Amino acid sequence: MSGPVKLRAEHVRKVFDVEGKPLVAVEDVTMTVRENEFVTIVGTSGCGKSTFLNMVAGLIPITSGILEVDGRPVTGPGADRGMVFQKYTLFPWLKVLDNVKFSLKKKKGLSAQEKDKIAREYLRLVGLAGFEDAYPSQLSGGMQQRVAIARALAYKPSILLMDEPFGALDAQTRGLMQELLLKVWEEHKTTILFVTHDIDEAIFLADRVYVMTARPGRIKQEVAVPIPRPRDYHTMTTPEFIAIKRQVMDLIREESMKAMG
Amino acid sequence: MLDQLLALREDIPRRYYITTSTVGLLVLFVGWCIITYGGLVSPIFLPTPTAIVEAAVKAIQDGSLWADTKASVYRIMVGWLISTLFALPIGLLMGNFKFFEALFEPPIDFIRYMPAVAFVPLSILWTGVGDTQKFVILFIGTFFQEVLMVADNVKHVPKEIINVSYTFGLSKWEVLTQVILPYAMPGIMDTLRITLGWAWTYLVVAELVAAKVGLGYSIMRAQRYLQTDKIILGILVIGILGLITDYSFKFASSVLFPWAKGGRST
Repeated sequence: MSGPVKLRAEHVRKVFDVEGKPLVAVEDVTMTVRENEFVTIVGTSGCGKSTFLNMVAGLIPITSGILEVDGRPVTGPGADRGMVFQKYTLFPWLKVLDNVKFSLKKKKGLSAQEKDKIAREYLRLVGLAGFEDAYPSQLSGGMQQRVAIARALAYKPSILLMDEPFGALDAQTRGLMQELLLKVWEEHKTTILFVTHDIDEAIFLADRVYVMTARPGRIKQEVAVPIPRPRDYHTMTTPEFIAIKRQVMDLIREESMKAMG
Repeated sequence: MLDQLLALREDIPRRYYITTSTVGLLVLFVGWCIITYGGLVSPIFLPTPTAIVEAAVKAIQDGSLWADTKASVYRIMVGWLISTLFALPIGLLMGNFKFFEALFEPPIDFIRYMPAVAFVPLSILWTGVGDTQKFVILFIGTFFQEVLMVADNVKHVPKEIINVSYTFGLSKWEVLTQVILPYAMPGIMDTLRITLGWAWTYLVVAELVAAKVGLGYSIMRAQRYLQTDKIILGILVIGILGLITDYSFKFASSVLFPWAKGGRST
């Protein structure tokens, strides 16, 4: 990996105050994400991976450590970091096209026509051309998440943060969405940090996987995924994929056992 | 057939639904006809439908129905508008900022439990028996519930929607006006509809005690002369006015917020 560093985290720590008692959610996360890299974080439920992602987004302040995006310390949310959540976050009162355009609101130097064109282009990219005038409530969960992805990509954030975006979808839709995301990413290269508890998903999408420990979260190990792209669902049954999966599973299993006591 | 009609928590065909509703109303009406025309109860307790239609015709002809309705509708609109004018901004502040919640909620919770009806003597003492006294009672009866419901409407906006808006570079003010407000709007509209319904209750209470004109007053006066038909007419008119406002609100909601039809997605 040689591109410039987009995200740098060093000994990031988060302690929540729960009714006067300190609760360590993230113990120590040190990681980097380089330009146009697809990096995933995988860990058991409640390990603090979402908390970390929210800190990168600037939605939760860090307790200590260094957290920089494009060399600037994160102090709050900003348009340089896009976010796709697990819960559907489309604006229900806006039609699909207007939902995508909403993210371009604060983009300077774009005419209304250009914004319209960009929004339509990204909708086409996620396979939703023809749904511009639908309301979110008329779409399935998978379609809503595709709109959310189009919306997050359209305003070209410096880094795209994804918090289990396919977590609420059924297994079949999930698989298709993973392939779609890779296709879009390969067409419009961008930097993605993706959080999931699904090991297959983490490996299938990533250039590198960070495995996190059970709460309080630490980076347990970094695993490279040198599987060539483009990948499709057949990739998941290749020997190289299975070898990596075995490695990650062992790491996660140790943590799950610990978490269960 | 019966199995289909009594399916647990399942939809039934629309025409069955409408037929059932109509039959329900008809049974009520026919029952009323039987016990009144059949002479099973004295007209002093329950007059016949004909008597009520006659009372209505008379009240329309002598202009009293119009005068009473006008006076009551005016009071309710002003009283409810004053209440809403305060409830909207304060509710929005309370729902969005913990600071304002801490500031307003204790006194509101306290006053909310005081029955508005008990304020009638006090309100007469304060403002006499004119329209202002009606506004005061309407305000006391409506505002303290309405403000908490508006605050609740605002709180129902999911945190994720707010967070995702921040990632588009929106400021706090922009999130408030361009995201929270439009999201909460159908809920707020519902609150307005429900509180206007309550306002009718308090209006009648206020008018029963002290008024020279108004639907509540007409009921009160009719009671003095045992004019049961007029009492029932007054109640029916209030019911119909309530129904009309309710449906106007629902219609306005469906036009203004077509996206909220059939509940919103989470």
